[in-house]
Amino acid sequence: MNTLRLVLALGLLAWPATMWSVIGRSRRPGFWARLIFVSLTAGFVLLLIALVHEVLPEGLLLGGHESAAEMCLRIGGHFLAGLPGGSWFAAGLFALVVVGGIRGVAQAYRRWRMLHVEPVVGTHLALGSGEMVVLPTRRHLAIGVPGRPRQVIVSESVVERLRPAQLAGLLRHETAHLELGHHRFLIAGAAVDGALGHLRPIRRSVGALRLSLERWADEEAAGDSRGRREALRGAMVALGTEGGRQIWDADFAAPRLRALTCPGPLGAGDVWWWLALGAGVSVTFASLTGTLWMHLARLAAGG
Amino acid sequence: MARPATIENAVMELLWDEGEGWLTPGEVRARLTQDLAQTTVATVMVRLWRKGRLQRRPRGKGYEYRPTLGREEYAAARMSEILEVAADRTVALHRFLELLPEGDREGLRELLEEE
Repeated sequence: MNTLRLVLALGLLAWPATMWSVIGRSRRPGFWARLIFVSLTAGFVLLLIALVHEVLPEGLLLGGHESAAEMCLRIGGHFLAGLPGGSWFAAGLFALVVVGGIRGVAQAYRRWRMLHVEPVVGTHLALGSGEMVVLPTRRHLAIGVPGRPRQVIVSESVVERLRPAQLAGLLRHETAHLELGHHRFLIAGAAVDGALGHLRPIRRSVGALRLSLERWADEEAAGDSRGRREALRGAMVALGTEGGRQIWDADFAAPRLRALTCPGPLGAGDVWWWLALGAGVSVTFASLTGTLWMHLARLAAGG
Repeated sequence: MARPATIENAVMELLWDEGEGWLTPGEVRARLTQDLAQTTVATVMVRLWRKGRLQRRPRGKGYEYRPTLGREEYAAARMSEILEVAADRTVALHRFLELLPEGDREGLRELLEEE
């Protein structure tokens, strides 16, 4: 049973990277971002549960609770703990995953705190319910920072380089990140990346989440207006070089530019994906809890 | 009730306006336009000292404070910090980007070069 949990957890964590290039880019980015967020969170939690199951029987045995350890084994089964030192390996892995996850989240919060600009730095202007901060630098910079007040930070070089419609598009894009609460998605991504980012497929899944969030903000900023799409695309192209040097990666910019060239992405059929995911999660949890109840019933009956 | 960050900024502005002078939390509170408890001002100033934004020395039973850096120096230091963090963020974004199959990547690079 625990083998199933581990496989399922790794599957949930790794599938978005593979599926993104197959179908992800043709779907609505908001839907994809949510789907990946749910998948990464569920996969991470399931992985932690699976690791706890690997460690728990050994821990209970060490504590002298043999019957509890046996029950735990019968309910959960073993994957690593059957091997010599398997439980200790699982305990180490659990600690690494937890510490890495906490570290990733702490780094993300620290980065936002450091990016929040005090009134003494730059020019602060009102922008909706937040503020826009213009920093006196030649470096191209445009970032949305959550917090109170929410800030959209842009550099003077960006303001000077873009036409008014392009700048408006860029500001709408960054504001969309803040209004849609994308930092919550990024926190989940930071936890997974901090814990398991050294595994390439999982790192790519976090990349798929980030790219979906960027495209989601693009779609919100552009809406159905052809003019807005072109302005946003123009802003991206105009800011693509700094001092004659290309500053963004083709992998990151190209899917966004291409999406902005086409009409809005498909929305129909999203409900089937949610139903499939919901059914998958329900069946998994039903099977896991079903086994639990079955063993508890056997124990209660003295078997 | 003002947020701690807002009070911190108000305290820093006041201390910068004082120039080289040292001020106690009581003196800062008396000069602030906001109506704040002395304990609040003292707490905020201790927090700023812990962050390295203020230096302090004993005066009587308590401490007096002044900014570690002048307004312009602080703004310049924060600017480089922000740019550094922003650059790290860009690197972090790019670290993730291995999403596309190689064939697609080449095609999209060509698309970009046409721009």
